[in-house]
Amino acid sequence: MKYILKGMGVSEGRIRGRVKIIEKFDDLDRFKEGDILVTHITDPTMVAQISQAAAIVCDIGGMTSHPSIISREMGIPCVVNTKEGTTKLSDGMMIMVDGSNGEICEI
Amino acid sequence: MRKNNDIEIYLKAVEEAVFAMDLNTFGDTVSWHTFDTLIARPWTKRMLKMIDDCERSSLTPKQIGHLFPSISQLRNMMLFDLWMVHFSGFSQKEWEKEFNFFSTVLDGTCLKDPYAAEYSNIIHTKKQINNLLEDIKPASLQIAKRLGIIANVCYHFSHAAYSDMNPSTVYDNYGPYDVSKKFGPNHIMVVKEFNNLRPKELWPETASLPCDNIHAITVYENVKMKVDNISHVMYEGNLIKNLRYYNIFVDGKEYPVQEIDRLLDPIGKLAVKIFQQFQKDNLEKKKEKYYHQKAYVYKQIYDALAQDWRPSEDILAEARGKKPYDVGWPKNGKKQKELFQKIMDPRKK
Repeated sequence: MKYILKGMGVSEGRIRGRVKIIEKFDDLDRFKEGDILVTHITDPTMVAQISQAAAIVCDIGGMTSHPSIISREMGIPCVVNTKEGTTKLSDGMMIMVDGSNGEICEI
Repeated sequence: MRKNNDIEIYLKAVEEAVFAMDLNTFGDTVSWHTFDTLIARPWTKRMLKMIDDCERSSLTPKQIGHLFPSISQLRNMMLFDLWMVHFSGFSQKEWEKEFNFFSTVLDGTCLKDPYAAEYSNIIHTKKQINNLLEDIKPASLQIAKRLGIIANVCYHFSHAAYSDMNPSTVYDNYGPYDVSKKFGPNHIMVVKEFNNLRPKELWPETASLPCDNIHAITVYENVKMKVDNISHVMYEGNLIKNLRYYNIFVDGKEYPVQEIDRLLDPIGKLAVKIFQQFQKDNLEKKKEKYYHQKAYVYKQIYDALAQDWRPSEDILAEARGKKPYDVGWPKNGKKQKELFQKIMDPRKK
């Protein structure tokens, strides 16, 4: 595995999955169950995709941000404040997200 | 009047909670410091009148507390409205009057830790806890996942319907309640409430939603729960793997969790629709909607006082034509806290 970036781990657990970057509402249709949702910050337009996501990765955010609260409720790993998750990761990339230590690695 | 020590406990709790947030997440979103500040004078005037009217009424602090959408939202309003006093031109005396109102209501409603300074949100008595546990059912991974989806859908609905600032108009977590005596060591009960899912006065299209509230009674093993002063819940331990017992109530009646998607689908779809609608609005419309969302938090109190809950024309006019307020947050974290303290604590003038 190749280390790519580190953020703040806010919801425990490690999981592997395929990256899907969500920048605008049009991107949502191509999201598949088990994808890893990568975005600047989550908002209510992503509610259906969050329900299907294996993990969430955000550029900004803290322990009490929306994606952090919701990922803990859903028991899925979440890393926020990666600063450059949406630029360093790309659609289709297979990654491992560690929601405990905040590390993201390419598989 | 409150003692200085009480004020110190509150200010420490609210400061810790505010600076646990990533201020970058506010970005271009509607936030209390950019939008509330614009209407500081007329809103504070309205609050002072409401406090007088509550004192003249027969409402007890506990009754007033339960007229708020949730206790976390009550604490949120305490931050937003005390913040506004600084910009209102009113004096320390009026700040103390508001502080005293919120503190008295919290004291009357919470069984301990009114400011969530110790990160708890406790309002249920032992008798109420026992009643809630009466028909508790064994949980499974599948059931726990459904509960997670309820939280996801209802939380985002709240963000859409009531703004980023007021998610606890829908969502609050009460606890942790120690239930080790009944279920064994390290078991806690948490009451998760999702209320006000049909705010037809703000969004007429929500009138057709299938329910107004969903309550989940949950018992977890080896999970720690904390709630901060401004509504944020933090769990340590996996909520899916560690859910042991649960029950679901919809509009006060027990509801089969297997059928919950029937309720969640339209709520989730409407969350997307109304959020997009709000995003498309121009700044003037956004401000007007936000001030209605803020006023809605006090709706039940105004209903009890037989008064109009909506923001008055002078409040709306105060913000008209104005850009969002720029607080000028310094980049340095220590200086950010100093600015926050100066705004929140009138004794520091």
